[in-house]
Amino acid sequence: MQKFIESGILSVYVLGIATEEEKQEVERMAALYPEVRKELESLQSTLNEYVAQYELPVPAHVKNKVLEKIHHLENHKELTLSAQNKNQKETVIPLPNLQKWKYGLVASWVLLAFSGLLNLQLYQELKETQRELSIAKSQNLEDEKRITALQTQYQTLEQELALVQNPDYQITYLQGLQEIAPKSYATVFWNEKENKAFIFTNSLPKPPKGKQYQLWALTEDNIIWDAGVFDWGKFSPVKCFKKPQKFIITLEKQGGVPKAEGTAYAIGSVKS
Amino acid sequence: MEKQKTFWLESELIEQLKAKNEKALEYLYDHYASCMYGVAMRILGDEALAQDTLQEAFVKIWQNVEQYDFTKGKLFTWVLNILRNTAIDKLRAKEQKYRTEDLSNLKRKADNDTLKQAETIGITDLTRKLKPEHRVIIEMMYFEGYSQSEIAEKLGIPLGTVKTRAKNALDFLRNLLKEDTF
Repeated sequence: MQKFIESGILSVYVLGIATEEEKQEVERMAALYPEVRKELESLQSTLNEYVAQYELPVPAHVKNKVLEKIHHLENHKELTLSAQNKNQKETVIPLPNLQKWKYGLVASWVLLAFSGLLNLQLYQELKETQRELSIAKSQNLEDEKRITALQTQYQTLEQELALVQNPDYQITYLQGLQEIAPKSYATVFWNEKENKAFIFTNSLPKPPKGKQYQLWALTEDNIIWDAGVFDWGKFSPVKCFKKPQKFIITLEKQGGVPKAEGTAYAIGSVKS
Repeated sequence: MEKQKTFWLESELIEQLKAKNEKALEYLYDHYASCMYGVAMRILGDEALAQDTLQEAFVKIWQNVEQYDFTKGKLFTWVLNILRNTAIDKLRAKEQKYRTEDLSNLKRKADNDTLKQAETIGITDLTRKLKPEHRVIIEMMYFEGYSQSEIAEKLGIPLGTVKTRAKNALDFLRNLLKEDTF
C-alpha cells in the first residue's frame, strides 16, 4: 500500500496525465483503501489551492453570454421535444377523403394534446426521480461517514479496553487544569516492561489549526522529558520513560517543541 | 439582478444542477468562473479563446452534470477537469494550425512557454517559492497536458521517473501550503 502511494501514481492522476489504465487502478484502490483516498484528497486540494491562485476577473459580458446560452439550450430542448411530437402525429394522418380527413384531424388533435400532456407529466416525473435519486445518494454518503466514525470509535474503545485489562499497563488519569479546561481529562497508559506508552483524550478542547498537544513526563530525578506530540481524539503512542512521577499536557505549535513553551492544559500524578 | 440565496451547500448545488435549475448554474459561475478563466488564460494565453473555452466548459457542465459522481471527488475538481480538457483541446488545435506553418518556431515557443507564461500571467508568491524544477513539472503536466512519455522526452529523463518527479513536486507544494497557513 505504502509502495503504491510512494510510486507517484496518485500525483500523475491528480495532475491529469495518468493513462487510462492508471486512472482505473487509482480509482479502484481509492475505493478499497481509505488511506489511498485520504492521500488522493490531500493531493487534490493541494493542487486546487495552487490552481486557485491563477484566478482572473472575467469580463462582465461573458457571464450573460454563458447564462443566455444555457437558457437557450433549455428552451431549445423543450421546443424540439414538442416539435418531434407534432411531426410524428402528422405523418400518421391519412388523407383518403374529406369525411375521414375531418375525423382524422380531430383525432390527431386529441392525440397530440394527449401526448403533449403525457410528455409534460413524464418529464416532470423524470425530474422528480432525478431529484430524489440525488438526495438518496447524498444521504447514503452521510450514512457511510457515520458508520466509519462509529467504527473508529469502536476500535479505539477496544484498544483501550485491552490496555485496561492488561496488568502490565499502569494507568494515569490527567485532570484538566481548573482555569483553562476544568472538565477535561486524559488517560496515559504505560508499560515499562515492554517500553510502550499510549495516550487518549478527546475531552480536552480541540486544538486550533497549527497547534498540537504535547505530553511531558516528570521523572524522579526532577527532569522533564518530552514524550512527544499526539493527535487529538485519536489513540496515540507516546514515548515511555522509567518511573515517571507526573504527566503534563501543554498546547504547542504543530510538530511539538523541544522545551515546553505553551499553556499547560492537564496534569496528573502517577499512583505509587 | 435579484439575489435569492447567498450560500448553497455543495450537495444542494449538485442536486439543483442535476434538476436543471438555472439559478444553480449562475451560482456555480459566480464562484468558479474567475478561477476557471485564470486557468484557461494560463493554458491558452488568449482572451478570446479563453472566453470561448469558459462558455464551452459551462455548456459541458450543464449537459453532463448527471455523470458527475461525488464519490470520486469534489465538484470544483470535476469542473476544473472539464475546463482543463476543453482548454487543452483548443491548445492542441491551435498548435496544429501553427505546426503546419512553422514547425521549428513552434517548438522553440513551446519550450519557452512554461516559464514565460507563468511570468506574465498571475505569478504569485506561491509560484515564486516553488523550486523551478517543481514548477516546470506541475505546469507542464497540468497546464500543458503533455503525456508522461512526452514529458520524459522533453526533460530528457527516463519514463519511470516522471511519476517520482510529479510526486516530489506535489509533496513540496503541499508542504509549502502548510507553512503558508501558519
